Order: sequence, then C-alpha cells, then structure tokens
Amino acid sequence: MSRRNESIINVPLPASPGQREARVAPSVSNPSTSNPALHRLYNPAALQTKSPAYSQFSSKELEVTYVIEIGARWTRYGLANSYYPREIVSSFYPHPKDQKLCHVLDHTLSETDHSILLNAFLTKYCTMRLSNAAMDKRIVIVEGLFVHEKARKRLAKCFFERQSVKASAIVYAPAPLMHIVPFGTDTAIVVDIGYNYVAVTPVWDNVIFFSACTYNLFGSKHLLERIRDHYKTKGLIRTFDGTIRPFNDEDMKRFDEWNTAEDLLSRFFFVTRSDRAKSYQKATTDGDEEITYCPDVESYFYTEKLIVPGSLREFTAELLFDGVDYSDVYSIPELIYKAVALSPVDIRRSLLSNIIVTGGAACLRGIHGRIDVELKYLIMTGNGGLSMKLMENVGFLKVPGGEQIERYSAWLGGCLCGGIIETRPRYYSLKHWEEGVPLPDWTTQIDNYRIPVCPDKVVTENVTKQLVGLRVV
Amino acid sequence: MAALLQTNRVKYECSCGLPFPLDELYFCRQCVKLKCVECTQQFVDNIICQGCFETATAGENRERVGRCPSCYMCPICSTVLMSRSINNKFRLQCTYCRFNTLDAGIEDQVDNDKWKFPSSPNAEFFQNIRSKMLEYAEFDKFEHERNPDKRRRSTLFLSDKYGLNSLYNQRKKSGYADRPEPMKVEYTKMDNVEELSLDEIMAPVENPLDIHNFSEQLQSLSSTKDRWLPEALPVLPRRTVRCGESENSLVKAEYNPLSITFRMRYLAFTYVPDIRMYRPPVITILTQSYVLIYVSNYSNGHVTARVTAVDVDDDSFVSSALNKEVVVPLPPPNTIQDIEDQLQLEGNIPSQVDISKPFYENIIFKRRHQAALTIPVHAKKIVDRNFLKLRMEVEYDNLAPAIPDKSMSRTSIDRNYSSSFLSRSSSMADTTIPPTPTPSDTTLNTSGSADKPKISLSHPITIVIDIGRTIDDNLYDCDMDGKVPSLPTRIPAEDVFA
Repeated sequence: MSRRNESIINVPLPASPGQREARVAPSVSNPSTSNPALHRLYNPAALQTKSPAYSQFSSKELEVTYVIEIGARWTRYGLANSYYPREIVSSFYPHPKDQKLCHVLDHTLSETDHSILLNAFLTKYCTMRLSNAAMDKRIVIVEGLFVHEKARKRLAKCFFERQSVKASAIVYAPAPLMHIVPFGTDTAIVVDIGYNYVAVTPVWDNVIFFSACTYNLFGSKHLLERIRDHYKTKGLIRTFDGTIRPFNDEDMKRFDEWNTAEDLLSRFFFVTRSDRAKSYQKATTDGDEEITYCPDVESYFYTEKLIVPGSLREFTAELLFDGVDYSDVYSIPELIYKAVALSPVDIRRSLLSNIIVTGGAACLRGIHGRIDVELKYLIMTGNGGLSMKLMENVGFLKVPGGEQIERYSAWLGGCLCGGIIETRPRYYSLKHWEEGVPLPDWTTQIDNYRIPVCPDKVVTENVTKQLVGLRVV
Repeated sequence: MAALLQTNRVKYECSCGLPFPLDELYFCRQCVKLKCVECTQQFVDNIICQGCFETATAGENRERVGRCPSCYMCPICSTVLMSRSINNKFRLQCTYCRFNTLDAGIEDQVDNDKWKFPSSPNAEFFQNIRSKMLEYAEFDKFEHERNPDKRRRSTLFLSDKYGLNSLYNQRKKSGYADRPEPMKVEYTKMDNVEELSLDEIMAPVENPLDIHNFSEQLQSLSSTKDRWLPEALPVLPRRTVRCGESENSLVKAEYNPLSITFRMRYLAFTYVPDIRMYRPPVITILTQSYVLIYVSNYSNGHVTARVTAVDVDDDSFVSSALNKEVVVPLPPPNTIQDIEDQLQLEGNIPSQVDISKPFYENIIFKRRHQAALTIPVHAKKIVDRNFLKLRMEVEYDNLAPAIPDKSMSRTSIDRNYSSSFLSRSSSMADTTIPPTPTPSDTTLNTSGSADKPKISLSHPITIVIDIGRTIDDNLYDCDMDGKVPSLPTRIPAEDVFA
C-alpha cells in the first residue's frame, strides 16, 4: 500500500492486529531509549508510558463515566454505559453576564467570559443533570479535527480546575473515527452533514486519511436560512377563519423564538429525485419547463396554521446537491468522489462500499438514494480517475436494528470506545495538566516529530546546523 | 412563582460581578459577601429519585445510568407515570396527557415492580462491538508492556538445516499474546438504496400531528415514529453549596430525602433587602416618569438600606434625577402582627410615613419591614429595554444568625458565631455583633443605638432593574396639557398586597 497520501492521526483506538507492525517507523533499526525524541516516536500518544501519575490510579478511577460531544449546533452528553445520550441540547448557552446566546466553544470571547460560560454549562449538564458524573473520573471528549486550541485549553481547564467537576483524566476522541465505530466497521467514508459545512473523511483501518478529506461550505445552517428567508419574504399563514394572510414581524419573531425552521425541516422536508431537481433548475433559471410541486402542508403555528409550500419542502435540500456547475460549491456526491480520488488506489473499493452519512440532515428522506444515483453518475462520467467498475461497489451502512443513530453516532462511538476500562495511557491526566504538558492533538505529532538519525553517525558542524534547520537534531 | 412575580427584572450584582436575581444568590457570613452559582462550589450530597424518593450512592447511580429502576417518565410530557391497577393487572398511566403503556403496545403486567420495556434493538450489536474493543485494548496493553522499543526486528532467515527453525519460532511466539481476531461484527449494508418514487413525493401529509416534532425527536431517542416508549426517570442530585473563597457551607440539606428543611441555608434574601418593582412604568424621553420600587427586609434584625441612583453613560440606562441617598430604615418582619392588622382593621392599615417630614421625600409608603420609594427617571433614547442602576449599602443593627430554623439549637448558633464572626481578622473587629437577637421593632427607628456595633456588607450592592421599553412621546396618551399623570403620594394597603 502506498504511504504517499497517508497522514497518521493520533488514534485512540488500538489498531487491528494485522496492521499494527506496519505503522512502526521502518527507518530506525535500533532506537535508543535514551533519546526522548526517538522514544516518543515509538509512543504515538507522545506521553510517558510509566509516569508516576499513571501508577497512582486505581482501576476504579480509570473507569470512564462521562462522554460529551460539543458540536457546532448540538451537544450530546451522557454516561458511557448507555446506548443513548442523556440529552441532546443546544451548544448555544446564555452567558450568565448578559444572557446572550454564545457558543460554548467560542474562542473569540475573553478568557474570563469564556470560563464563566463553560462553568455555567458544565455545572448544569455535568453536575446537576448527571449528579457530577465526571468527578474524579476519566471523561471522553469527542471533538472535531479543527477545534481551536484556545477552546480546547479552556475546556480542559474547566474540567481539571473547577472544584465541582474535577475530572481525573480526559480522553480526546476524534469525531470522524467515532462515527464509524457504532456501525461495526473499521473502514468507511464518513459524510458528516454538519451545521456549518459538510465534511467527507475517508477512514481506513481506523486511520483518518486527512489528506483526502474534503469539505464544502454549505451545512444545515444554510438550509435553515433558506427556509427562514422564504418565510420572511413570502410566508403565508392560514387564520382560524380560513383566510390566508402574509407573515408579519410578530410572526417572524415567534418563528425564530420557537426554532420553527428546524422543526419543519425535520418533519416535512425531503430530498427529491435527481431528474426532478434538474427540471426545477431549468424551471427557475430559464423558465422553459413547468414542474408540478408536491402538495403543501399546513402545520400548527401558535393559534393558526403555517403553510409549508411544496416547492420549499422538496427543493430546499438541493442546496447540498447543486454542484460546481450550478454553484461554486461542491455537492455531496462530488465531495465523496473527490475524497475517494485522493485516497490510495488500493482502498477505494472498500471505502466506496462503506459510506456512512451522519448529521442532522442525514435523517432527510431520500438522501441515500440521491447520493447513490449521483455518485454512480459521476463515476460513470467523471474524469477524476475513478474506474467505472467502482460503480458496483457503492454501498451505504446502517445499524442492523434500523435505528436512526445519525444524530449521535459520534457520541455513541465515544461511548463504545472510551467507555472501556483500559490501562494504556492514551489519556491526558490531571497530573499532565499540572505539569504543563500540551494537550494531545494530531498536530503535536508534527511538532514533536524528528527525523530519526543513527546515533553513532559522526557529523561536522556545518551539517549539524543544517540538520537543526531540518529538525533532525 | 418567580416567573409570575418577574423577579428576573431586578438583578443584584454578585461579588464576582455577575448579575442574578436575589432568589438565586447566597450569602457567605465569613466573607460577608453575596455569592452566586458561579463563585460557589456545588457538590453532590445525595442522589434521589423524585418519584419514589429512593436514594442511591454514586456507584449505584452510575450502574443505573443515572435513572431510577422503578419509576418511569411519560415520553410525551415528561411527568412521572403512575401505576394503576385494572383487573388485577397493572398499567402505567400519565395523569397529565393520558398516555399509558397500552399506547406503547405493552400489555398490562401482573408484577408492578418489574416492568420490561423493549431495549434498544441494537443492544446486542453494540455489546459485541464493546467486547471487541475490550479485546483490542487488552492486547494493546500487553503489546505495550512488552516494550516494543527494545524489540529487535530480525530479518534473519534460518534454514531448517539442523531442525532448529521450529524451536526458534516457538520461542519467538511464546512472548506473544493471542492476537484477537479482526472485527467480524456484521455491519449491515442498506438494501435497495433508491430515490424516492414519484408517488412518495406526491403523497399528501394527512395529519401533520402524527409526525413527531423536532423537540420530541430529540427528547425521546428510543421512541420511534410508531411507538412511544416510557423512559426510566432520571434521578436528581441533592447538592451542597460551598463558598468558593472560604469553603464554608452555604446550603446543606437534611439527609432524609423526605425532609424539606435544611441543616444550613444561607440565602441572600435573608440578609439583603429585597427590591422589587411595583409595575413597569411608562418611560418617555421628554417627560419625567417615576419608578416605584419596594424595599423589604426579611432578615431577623434591623436593617438600614441606603439607596442611591447611579448614572451610566449608556443609552439603554435611564438617567435619574435622584441626586441624593435615600435612607430606608427597616425593622424585621412580624408576620403575626400583620395578620392581626388584617383581621382587626379589615385591610385599612395606615402607612407609617409622615409625608410632611423632609426625610421621607422619596419614601411614599412604609409599614414595618416594607417601604416604597419613588425614583424619578428620564429615558435617553427609544429602546426596547431600559435599565435603572442603583447602589445600595446595607447596615445591620443587632443582626441575629441567619437561620430561624427551630431545628437549630442554641449551642449550634453560638458555635456558628464563634467560628465565623468573632474569629475574623482585626480589620473587621468593629463588625462583631452580640449573639442574642433583640425583639423585632415595629416602630420607626431612624438609626441604631450609638453603643451597639453595626455590621455592614463588605461592599455596596449594585442593582440593575429592567424597567421596560421607551414609549414614543408622540404615541403616549398624555392628558390635554401634555403632562404625565401625577403619582399618588399614598398607596392603600390593599393595592400593596394585591
């Protein structure tokens, strides 16, 4: 297998036995444990294996209890020995100072304000709701790959220094990896339709292929904005006596206050067929074609009824499927195509046969069929280098019982992985925090990486300087 | 009740700077400061089920996933389900929304204690995944402890000339653990992945109420479209609250879960006068309005509150014409006397304020522990929310220890005194107070006795009141001369307690 495109992320999961030895750096024949840099090379966790802190923990203290995943819109939290999160709550919490809604991981706030916000959030959802489940226990934080450094530090500070919550250790679990765990596979291509953007991440043998990750800038937030804009400009309400009137400012205020857009999106909207989508595009741009929309729905709104037009129900989700030809943003099938094209040739078949669609918008009816059709079309007609034979391999995964776990699959993965009692120090403990050890992250592997050199090599001073520049010594 | 009384409109600034209503604040007697939920430490004392009052330890709570094993919650309205006996069998029913277990497709049971609801359809599948992860973790631990750093990677190829190859391989393998097999958990691929048919797209939604709304979908994750399943009732923690600075206990409940009394309860409203707005006034820009606020003393001692208005350079804060400090002396409450007055005088209770005296310029009503003040204000701009900022200094005369609980013995009160107030540093020596409470004083007491020492809060309290929106002067319904209707100088008692 070619290792050109592979970027190894710090994986908290133990590797499958067959591939374990392949990950060891082959260039060093006899590593010396006296060189700490080389020692860390053989310890991807970048933490000392036999630190005094580790030996102090009893087996009870190492038991994980609290699992939390703070997303861009929703936070899931719960105990590790259950299969459902205790609650899915909004990640926007009113700041105790001025009651303004702020995102819990908003790093643009000042340190003081952010710590006040995090304290209030964790006091409510850790201390009060779960009877302080994190106290003196190890916790699992399922996080995305690009959470800001400041936000991570402040969250860790809150867990380690706040007396009411004081955790003993934190295990950081990357979300793309945790998404695939509940599906019982170690290889998949994860399509996460998030709030701010859609991320397609290939994972092979529990290794995230970061260089093949693809993103676009349209997420669920933009679907909701489209719904909201429609009602702001063309919204209609049926009154109690049967007449229809337009939306006014008070209605809009209620609409926003009650998160009506999210409610409508989850209940009445769906992803339409690709042929109807093309007809709709022609009808709206050229005006040549006529199209029959699906029937309207009337949903209760305060004391009246909100009219949800059929065109809005059917074609709002087209934002995720518009494509480069129609807008400047890649559609979901194009992102998958691109991600697979960037992946090594040997694993493309297994990636395409295990597609996992997660996120809130993954619950829309018809999304899997639409992705399937458009992806196969792209493979058939695209010039990205994918063989047409791969069309037969396109397949989607689901859990056997048929439950919809898309809204919390990453949390569930963190629960299944992080909830086991393990003694391998893949965690960041309170002792490490007190000593000032940097939080473990995939970037630390880059920072701490040194090109291995045979210890008995004699070099001149000039060469030494060059090697220092190249981060060898 | 707090929502009805709108206590969130008046916010007190805690010692940490955050604003909270008075009913959400605590008072630390050692620091002599207000404390809020942010500057206190919350510890879980006890874990109690709100349905059956059964207590649990932390370990038991974790095993039960933070839920009661015998109480259940309605999936629709989240109230506790009650058990009902019908024909010698039991059924769980919600008294609020009429949901019952028959609606969930669960038959009536003979045994009320052991309800069996269908667990997650994927429970076995996830358990297999978890056990496989455990195998990997144990193998990983074993591999790590073998210290692979020193493991030599030999590329030596031994030909089996002397029959030693098999022995060598056996010796090599003896150091290895049995590697767990790769994950063979059956992951399921979706069958018949197709787009929606035209019939499905054009099908009308007959009853939108049949589809769970978004909050219901998030709330009951185990329920499906066709089936609402009751959930086990989450347990609640009973917390101990401690001051973040001095680590004194501020709130500590009794161990008995059925008890509503507290062993310790130092709440701010028993120390700090309660300020409440009578009604949101009509605020305009051109005309002066009056904000009527009530200052009430619920502590056990005589309190002198000195209230001043603060001007803030912000358009959302009104400017006040109150340039001087208003001194409001307030004795402690006397509930028995209040009831007697109601019965004897039939509600015609006179105010104790003599308006002619200049001292009472801004106090328009006073009766025992309550006084009403008027503060003239002026809006700066037309905004949705106007705020009034006040500063209040509080002096206590002869303040008794806080909790008038009968369960507290005299010795414990004295012990509290000796440990907290009297043992403070010399800088606060003038704030020592005698331990015995004096009888409540119903007559007006303008100042405490000169020989009795007074205690005051360590810093003045800042209070911000949300007084409502500005009304455009053009739209305001003034009288014919364009003047704001004058405020009555005396308010009858029945209006006060309406």
